[in-house]
Amino acid sequence: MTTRRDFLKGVAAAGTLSGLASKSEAQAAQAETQTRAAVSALPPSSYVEAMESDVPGYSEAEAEHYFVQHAGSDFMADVIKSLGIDYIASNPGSSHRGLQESLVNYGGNTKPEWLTCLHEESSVAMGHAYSKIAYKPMAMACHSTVGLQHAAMAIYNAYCDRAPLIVFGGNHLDAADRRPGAEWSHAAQDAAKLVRDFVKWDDTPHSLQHFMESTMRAYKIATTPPMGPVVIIVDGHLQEKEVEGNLPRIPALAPTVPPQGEIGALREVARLLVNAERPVILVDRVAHTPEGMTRLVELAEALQAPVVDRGGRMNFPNDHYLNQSGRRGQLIREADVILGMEMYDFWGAVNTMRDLVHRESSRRTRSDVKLISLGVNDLFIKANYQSFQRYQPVDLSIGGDAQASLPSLTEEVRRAMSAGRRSQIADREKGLREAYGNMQAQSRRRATYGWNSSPISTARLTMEVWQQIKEHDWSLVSRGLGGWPQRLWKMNKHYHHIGFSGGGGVGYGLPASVGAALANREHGRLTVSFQSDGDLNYAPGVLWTAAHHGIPLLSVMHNNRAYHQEVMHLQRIATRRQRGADGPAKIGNVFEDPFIDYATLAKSMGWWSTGPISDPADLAPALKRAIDVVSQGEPALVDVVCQPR
Amino acid sequence: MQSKNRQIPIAFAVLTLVAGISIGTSATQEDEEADRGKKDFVEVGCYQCHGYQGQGGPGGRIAPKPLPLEAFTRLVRRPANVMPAYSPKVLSDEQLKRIHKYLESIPEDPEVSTLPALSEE
Ligand code: HEC
Ligand SMILES: Cc1ncc(C[n+]2csc(CCOP(=O)(O)OP(=O)(O)O)c2C)c(N)n1
Ligand SMILES: [Mg+2]
Repeated sequence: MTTRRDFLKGVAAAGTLSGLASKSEAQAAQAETQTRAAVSALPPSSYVEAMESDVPGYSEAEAEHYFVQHAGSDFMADVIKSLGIDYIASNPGSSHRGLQESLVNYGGNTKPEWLTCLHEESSVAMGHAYSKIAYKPMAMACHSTVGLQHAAMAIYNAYCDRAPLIVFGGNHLDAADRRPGAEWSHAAQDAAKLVRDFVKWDDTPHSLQHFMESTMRAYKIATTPPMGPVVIIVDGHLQEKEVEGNLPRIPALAPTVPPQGEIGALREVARLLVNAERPVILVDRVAHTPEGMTRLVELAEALQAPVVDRGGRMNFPNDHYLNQSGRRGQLIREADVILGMEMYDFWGAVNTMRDLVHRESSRRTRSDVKLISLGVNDLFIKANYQSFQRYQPVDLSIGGDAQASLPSLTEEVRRAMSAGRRSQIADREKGLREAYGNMQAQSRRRATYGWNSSPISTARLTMEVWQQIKEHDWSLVSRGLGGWPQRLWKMNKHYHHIGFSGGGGVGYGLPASVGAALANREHGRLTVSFQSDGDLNYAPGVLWTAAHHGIPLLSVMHNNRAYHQEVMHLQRIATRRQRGADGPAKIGNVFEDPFIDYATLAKSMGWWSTGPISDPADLAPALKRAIDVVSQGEPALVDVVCQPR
Repeated sequence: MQSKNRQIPIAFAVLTLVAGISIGTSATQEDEEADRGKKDFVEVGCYQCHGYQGQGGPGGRIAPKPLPLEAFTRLVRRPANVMPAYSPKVLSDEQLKRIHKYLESIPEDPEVSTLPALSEE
């Protein structure tokens, strides 16, 4: 007769592929388990010895009492592995201990490899930025209620930034099975509710079949534009208990091909653009991959239209004369047709509202401008959080992924152009090249302002870093200091810039740079980050994660010893109210008395570090040494005391 | 450790002064005014948006060669756009004059062509 264990072994041997065994057989086995459990604490009698299990020296009843042979979470690990996820970042917690053990032991701690994180916010932000370099999502595991609470802000950033993330959260659903204490405070009726307003989808599976289906669905939803985070709540009992019944088959995943704009509408866009005298292409989160950059260059060149890049992704090379982002104000003012693609804030790009006592808005554009929007924003929106920005009326609004739509749009542009029009359009090139040259020269001139100052100017620091990295295959994974890299570095590869946090939740910068550096590691790239001090202070433990996992990263601090943004805000309010000047603006906003020693902090977490540096002449040698360290595969931090901005 | 840290701002101030104002051996009254102007510049928060050297940041460059005092004063009292307006209640004419002196005392920046780090290559 087949014992229950033999039966389960058979299931496991069939792996994740076959379904078998009748329900009644499984139920009978379950009833048997319940009876045995009552006697299983007894020493083996001759009776139970006779019923020896496949755990040598243990009767079947004892084995059932003490051991789990085929845990539910092993199957969960199979599902996660089937998705090709390389890393799972996590701060540990008992609500996901089953899954953690399965991935580490059963899964061999590879694909995904478990990353030790010191804060859930770090795990999520790492995954957020990782996806923008790796072009696929990372997974995270959060400890139930509390872990998800810590993760929430970083999930919000990823949601606003349209970045895919697969977040697993533990929970204990069945109250009757919860141990007293932590399993109650760390359980929720509806754990994902906390973040539901800013994830694309979530589910709380009740069976392994349900887990498999929902995880596959979640992955598809997360990676289909508009991309975003998803949450799967993984029940503790489901992870830990013995598999019962059939193991479902894990089907291969067919990713969803993103939608392209309707062809008739794209034809109309092409007509408007071809007939325009001063068309402007405004882009924000267009290029998911290098392909997006290539396609955008083709469109811009076909039209000889300047591109204004808001920088949500690396959309357009800055050494191309059509990248005229630095002339944004004038171009938008003079444009007769503006095509905005994947704009996070279209309204803000074509209107202004100044931070004055009275909030008044005014448009930046000509009154007869034609506005066109192409992107996925209208395909997915939620009500509560207002990250969708102000409503912008447009003349033509097309729902479709911009990158996917670009080839057809460019083809329509070419088709709509008569030979005569083509030559008229080609005539724009000279003027645009000249404007580009002037823009570049002006940026260089501006970079000299305060060149020798101490604290060090942001332009000087940017260019000192450039001198040291330009011969490497580098990747800038932070904000560009004061916009200087965008103006003065040669940025022409997709990984030369990865955009921003999305939601403006500060604390993104440091863990994001570690996550992006992890994705860059296998390509041997030199990952560079400008690290602001306030951002670093939220959760510096990720420094240790980088050291521990051997993630090479050059972190150059923009240390202005303040939440400087907030210093300026407080100054504005105080001055408006005609009281208190700088002294009060500092209260609550600066890191003085004592200063924070970031080099020592980083060193304590296993980093090579140096600083604080305040003399610009000391930068080059420090950066050289740091890059040597990073080239050996380790992280290095250079603390630089800088001008406020 | 901590006390060493605390000395750094003083070192900065001195460095910035050395870089920013060529202090003569016997400080003239002009130098003293500029020196006090530098303190005012920091205390009332101009540095926040214009940088410690007036080199520019969220607000534009205002040094070296600031606008003539009269125009300068007008634009600080009644800014053109988003700069907060400083009324005489929070910033006296004397302070503004001193700030102006400080900005005047800031030396010219080097030319692009003299800076290898800014070469186009
Ligand atoms: C919160 C930021 C902020 C602070 C603080 C600030 N400014 Fe400004 N400043 C600006 C901005 C922005 C402009 C550009 C004009 C505008 O938007 O109003 C400007 C313009 C100016 C101009 C006009 C420059 C020109 O050539 O047109 C002067 C002069 C000036 N600031 C001086 C000062 C002084 C002196 C202080 C301190 C008393 C100061 N600012 C404090 C932001 C600031
Ligand atoms: C989680 C979170 N808390 C507070 C803020 C408000 N905030 C916006 S910018 C900023 C200062 C950030 O300091 P730092 O990273 O040092 O940059 P700096 O402004 O000094 O250049 C703060 C606190 C925020 N955006 N997010
Ligand atoms: Mg700061």
